[in-house]
Amino acid sequence: MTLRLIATLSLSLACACGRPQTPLILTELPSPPSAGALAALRQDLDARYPGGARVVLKDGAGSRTLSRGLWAAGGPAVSPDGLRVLFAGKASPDGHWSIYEAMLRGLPRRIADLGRDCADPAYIAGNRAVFSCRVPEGGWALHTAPLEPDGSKPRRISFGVDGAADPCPLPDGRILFAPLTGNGGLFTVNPDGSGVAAYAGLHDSRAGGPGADAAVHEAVPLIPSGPRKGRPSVVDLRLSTGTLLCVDADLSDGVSGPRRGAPRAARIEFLAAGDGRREVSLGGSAVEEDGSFLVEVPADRALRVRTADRRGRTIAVSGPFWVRPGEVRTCTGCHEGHERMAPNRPLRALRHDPLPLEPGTRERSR
Amino acid sequence: MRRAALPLLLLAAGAASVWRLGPAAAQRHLDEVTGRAGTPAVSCRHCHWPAPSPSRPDSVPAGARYLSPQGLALSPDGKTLFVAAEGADRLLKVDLAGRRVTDSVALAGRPHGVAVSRDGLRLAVSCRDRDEVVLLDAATLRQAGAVPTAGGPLGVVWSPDNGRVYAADGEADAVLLADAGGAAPARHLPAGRAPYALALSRDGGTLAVANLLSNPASSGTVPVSELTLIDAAEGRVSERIPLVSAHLSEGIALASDASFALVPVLRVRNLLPTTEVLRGGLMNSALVLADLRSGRTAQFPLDEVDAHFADPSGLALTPDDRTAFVVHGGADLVTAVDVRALRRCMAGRSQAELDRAADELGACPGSVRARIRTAQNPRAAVLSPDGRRLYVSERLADSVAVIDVAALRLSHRIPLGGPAVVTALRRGERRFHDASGTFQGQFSCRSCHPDGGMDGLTWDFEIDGLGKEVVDSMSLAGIRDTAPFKWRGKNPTLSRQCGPRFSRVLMRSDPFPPDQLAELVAYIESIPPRRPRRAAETAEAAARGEALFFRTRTNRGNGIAKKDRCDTCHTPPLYTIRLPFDVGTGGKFDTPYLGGIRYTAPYLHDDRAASLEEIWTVHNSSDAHGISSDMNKAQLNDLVTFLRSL
Repeated sequence: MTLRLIATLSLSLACACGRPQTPLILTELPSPPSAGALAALRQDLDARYPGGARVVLKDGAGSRTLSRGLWAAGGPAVSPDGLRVLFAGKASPDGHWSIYEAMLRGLPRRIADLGRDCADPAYIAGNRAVFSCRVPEGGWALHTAPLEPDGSKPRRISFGVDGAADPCPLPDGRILFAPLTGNGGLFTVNPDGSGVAAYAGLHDSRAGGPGADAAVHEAVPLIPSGPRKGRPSVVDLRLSTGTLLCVDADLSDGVSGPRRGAPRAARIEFLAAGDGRREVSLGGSAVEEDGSFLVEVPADRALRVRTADRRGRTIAVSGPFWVRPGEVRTCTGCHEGHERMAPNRPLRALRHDPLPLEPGTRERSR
Repeated sequence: MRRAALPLLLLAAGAASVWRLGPAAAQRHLDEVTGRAGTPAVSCRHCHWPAPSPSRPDSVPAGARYLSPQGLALSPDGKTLFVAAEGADRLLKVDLAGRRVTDSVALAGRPHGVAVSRDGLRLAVSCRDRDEVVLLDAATLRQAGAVPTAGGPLGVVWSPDNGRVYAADGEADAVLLADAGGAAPARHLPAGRAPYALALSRDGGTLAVANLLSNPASSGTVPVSELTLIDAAEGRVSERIPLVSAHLSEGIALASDASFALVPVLRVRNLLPTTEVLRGGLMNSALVLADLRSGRTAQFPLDEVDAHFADPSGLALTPDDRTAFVVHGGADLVTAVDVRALRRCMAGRSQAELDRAADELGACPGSVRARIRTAQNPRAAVLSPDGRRLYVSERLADSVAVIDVAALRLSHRIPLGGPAVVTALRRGERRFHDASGTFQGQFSCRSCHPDGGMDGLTWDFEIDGLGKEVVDSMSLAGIRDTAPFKWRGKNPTLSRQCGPRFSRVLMRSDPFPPDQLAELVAYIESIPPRRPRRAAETAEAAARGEALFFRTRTNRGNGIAKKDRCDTCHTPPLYTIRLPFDVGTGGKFDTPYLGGIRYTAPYLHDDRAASLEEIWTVHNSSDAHGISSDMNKAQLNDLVTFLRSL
């Protein structure tokens, strides 16, 4: 509820070419609280929607409760056709928060129950909903579920270490979301969990947008409501790995190729969260002479990439990100800007199959 | 009746006997026909009773044709617009004050480009399917002459003295320089590949040529098209400016002092996997700024991070050289570009920095002044002499958009006529040219199949592993009866080819709904084959080549096994038996049809042969692709001449 008191501002993101991108409405915190405090605030759904909170339709005919029969409810999202509403609801004080859908008439029905708290639903293409739920290891992650029972279970689609909240579909089918901490900008992910990326405009230093000292929440695109496009899934749940192709590991932050006198990337190492705050090495691979690499990496884990020179000295650490099983992910460089496209040239890394990670033993503190 | 019944009875008896003998006999028959053991089994209908060509789903009223306006030209006083209605074989005369078509004339051969002489008295209209530039009286639209071209003329311009006509011969890779009166023999200068648009400097001294395709090169190399500069007075090519990783240039403009040229291009990243679609980088629209004095060239992207404007096509530059208008055929939109901003962005950078900027969407902040919506598939643009009005042909809407240049918005639209009904076939044509079905509108079908043909590039489809399925994009011209599709021959129908798998690998967006897919397929199936081209001067060589194509014995008189003969796999009339074979290129690939093969270089499934000659001189050392090692150079030339005539 505290968040609702924070001034909401309209932010028109301008790309470097001077053309507006999709404008966003979002909540920006001028003096963000600590990441932990904000995350705790966001996870406390009982505080956001205390007992008796209702989702209500008010029109000329009066007022109608859409969350009838629930102990508390909140966070409504309207379907593109304007006939249905998704929201988070709790059936009893000692129960957990689930995702419900209500027609404008009739009782709400639960469409997703993970046995854990879920909130912040939104409609996406394919007759599905996206929402955020607690996950067993702690924190929150995005999930999707069918609106009509089709025998499938809700699917988890985010695996970041900072959690994920406020999912909002974009016109091109991607889902915009924010880390639970509110720090680090906004991200997008495909409905199948592939293609996670920092959202354009908030990751480019030249492109404007909220400053690095601001926390952002509840971003929604400023566009007319209507059907959103879908994205064909690239996920193959029979697999346990995905593929990562990097065009040029030396390309970083808008710099093409190594800076004069700077060391060139010779090796990459993949890091993932281990026990506690320790970060473990999952292994690595050599970088090709042209800066490209093609590797097979574990799926559905928050990964960071350490780029090292020939002596093993760290050049940069990028991430976190994840790949989904069977996903083929391409990066232009390491932490390059969104406006940077890859150069059109043959890649040495494409001359071989994706390489498995060679074992690594390093452990690092985050 | 008896005569008709007899062949049917014999056919039935033959079929019955093969059927009675069982699948083994059918396989033996198939192996005998192909000369190869273990030919993949197909039904009898594959060769003997192929499925009838699908009928068009519907049609316009009898006698009516869509106009599909393409080229535009204005009278010197800016009061009359001439429109080449390519789809209806007509030239239209539009009264701009009255906003209506006042006259038209039938002009067979797909009129494409139109130009008005500077005295306003004559028109030159390129008719691409009859290889002529037709000269008309501008007042009466009566034909006043014709200039033969080398093949498929597109862009056309007049010299300042109204005495000469220049035309881009798209099918001959040449530019025609002709005396309009026929007093002097015409000249053909080699341009880049598939020259498309022309711009002449005000003094008539420099002719700039935009070329549609990149120059043929083997797979794995960076594609390079060119901006060709011609010294019009001396009649020679003065410079070839390479445009790296860029092609599909359909417009061009020269500054008033000829100090720079502008060319819209499609910037491609075909050497990277199609996963680049996810990053918005498989292909981008860009505007080339070529400084003709310093020799430096820049490609400034016109796309944005989350929004793309596909298929840059026509171009117009205001008389004060300040604003360029780029028409995006796949995005139904015109981009207004601040040329002075581009020049400022160019000024402070080295050529290496400019080359890198070509891959940076925000390379020139503030250069895009406006995006102006149009109707379906805008293609060509022309500015009024005073620079206050921009006219844009809206090809698939049969209209012309009139844009207020000062306000940078649509002023009004002039309907040109044509059928009011929009048929399923027309909807399919619109879908083919519309990029909105792909992720963030990055490309349309046309982006890889311009004019229903091909782009001459290989693409790395991720589906079978990165770097493994690098295949040539095939021409769609005449593809209707050549199933199966894809180089591997995996897709029995075009509906499968363009279906959900295609959307997952390439479009990265929702697949086409069934009704839209059916319309799209109907349109693709309606794309006609390229015209056979048998020039009189090469007729004898083509006849010798034809004999070689159908030969059964080597030069030494030894018999050629059936599997090693050209016509076994490339069986007329389509010149394909529609079965996959291994011709020594790394596996079995579907036998391509050969109609229009002269336009589809490079060759073989992965474009490893830059020319037809290379198929045999470089890539057939073991005679796996037919016996050719006994042929001498002259014979190979004859064979190639024959193939190029198909």
